[in-house]
Amino acid sequence: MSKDLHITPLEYELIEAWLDDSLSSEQEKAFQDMEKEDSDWALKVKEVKTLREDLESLLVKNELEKIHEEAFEGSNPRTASFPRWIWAVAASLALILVAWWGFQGGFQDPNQKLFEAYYETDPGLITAMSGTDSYEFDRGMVDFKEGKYQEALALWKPLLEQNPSGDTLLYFVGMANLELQNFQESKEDLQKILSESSSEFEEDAKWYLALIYLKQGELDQAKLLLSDLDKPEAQKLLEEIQKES
Amino acid sequence: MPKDSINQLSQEELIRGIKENERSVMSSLYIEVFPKVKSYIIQNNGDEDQAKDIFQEAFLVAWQKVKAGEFLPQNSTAMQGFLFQVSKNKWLDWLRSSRFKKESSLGAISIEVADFEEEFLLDERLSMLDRAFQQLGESCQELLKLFYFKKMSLDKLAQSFGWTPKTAKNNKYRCMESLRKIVNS
Repeated sequence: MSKDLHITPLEYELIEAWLDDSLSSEQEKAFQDMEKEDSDWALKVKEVKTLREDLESLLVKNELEKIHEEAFEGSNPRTASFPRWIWAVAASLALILVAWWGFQGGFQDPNQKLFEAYYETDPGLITAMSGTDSYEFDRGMVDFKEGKYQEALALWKPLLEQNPSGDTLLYFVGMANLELQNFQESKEDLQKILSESSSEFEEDAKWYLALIYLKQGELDQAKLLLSDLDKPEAQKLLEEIQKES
Repeated sequence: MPKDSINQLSQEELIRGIKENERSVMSSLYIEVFPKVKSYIIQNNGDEDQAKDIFQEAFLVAWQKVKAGEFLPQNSTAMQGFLFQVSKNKWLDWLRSSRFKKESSLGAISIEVADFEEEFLLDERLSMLDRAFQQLGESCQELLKLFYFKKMSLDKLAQSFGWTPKTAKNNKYRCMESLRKIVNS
């Protein structure tokens, strides 16, 4: 890939359709014309082909690395060997830590413990790149995904005032509030989603609302919501709450 | 997919799984064959790190050969055998080339190592591409991964990003162009 080639969107589409063997008859004619008229055509085709293939190879390679880590991690002793006394010290420290955790846990509210065990930050949405009318929302989403919940809320709250029933916005405002431990606000946001007739966030809203109820000790409400959810985690949590209460 | 269920795939399912980079097929093939390659390499003067590198290179080659229609596995056992064979050949090539290095340093005969150079070039290209890919924005990385690796159609991609199909197509073009320009810069 050396020559500085300009490849237009249309040319890209044509080359990719040719590579995928999916040229329509019109495209086939256009492709043949390009072959005759554009002296750089063969180079352009080669460049797109190489880039596509290499990109796919790279992504496969990265996936193999992940598979290896997941399946064989720990089987490869790349670490240096330490003298035995270091292991003994490490084991004693580990025991002290375990005992300390146990001691802390003994005083922790069981509902709080369950909340912490089951709560996971919502991963957020893929942010759109441009040409949409939701630029502020996307900027907020970038903040949200970086853990800047206060900044995300600053961008989203004005949008929510303009569109109080937007369920996506409401849900993520609720999630940001939850991360900031504004439990009451988060609860209200999620309840609003559930009061709408249907929302694609309904299941998630129920789950997080159940976790808030659990944290606040409102177990009946939490159980009611959990029993209405199909996800296995919800059933597991429901069983654990029933065991505790 | 459980480890041995890859053996229950029909030839068609297996090839489709490879062409579409299905994680389950990739992963069970990896888990099934890597231990065998590892013990072969360890028994033949290699270590576990070398086994991993050789196996991953071989995996990529075998995967590409099936995609290009240059190897048509009849079933999963044939695919596993092929992957093992490619790994073995690569290891033998490596041994030969390291012997070559030793011999040539003593002024002995030179051996052609063209394949090795070609692979080295691919390796270099992929490292360069990796660095360029990391410079793309998160959305571009995600989009390209979904399209070129997960083989998601443009229509589905548009749906999941909340775009029109036309915007999806334009954004894909923009991301590929950015990647191409970074690589060429």
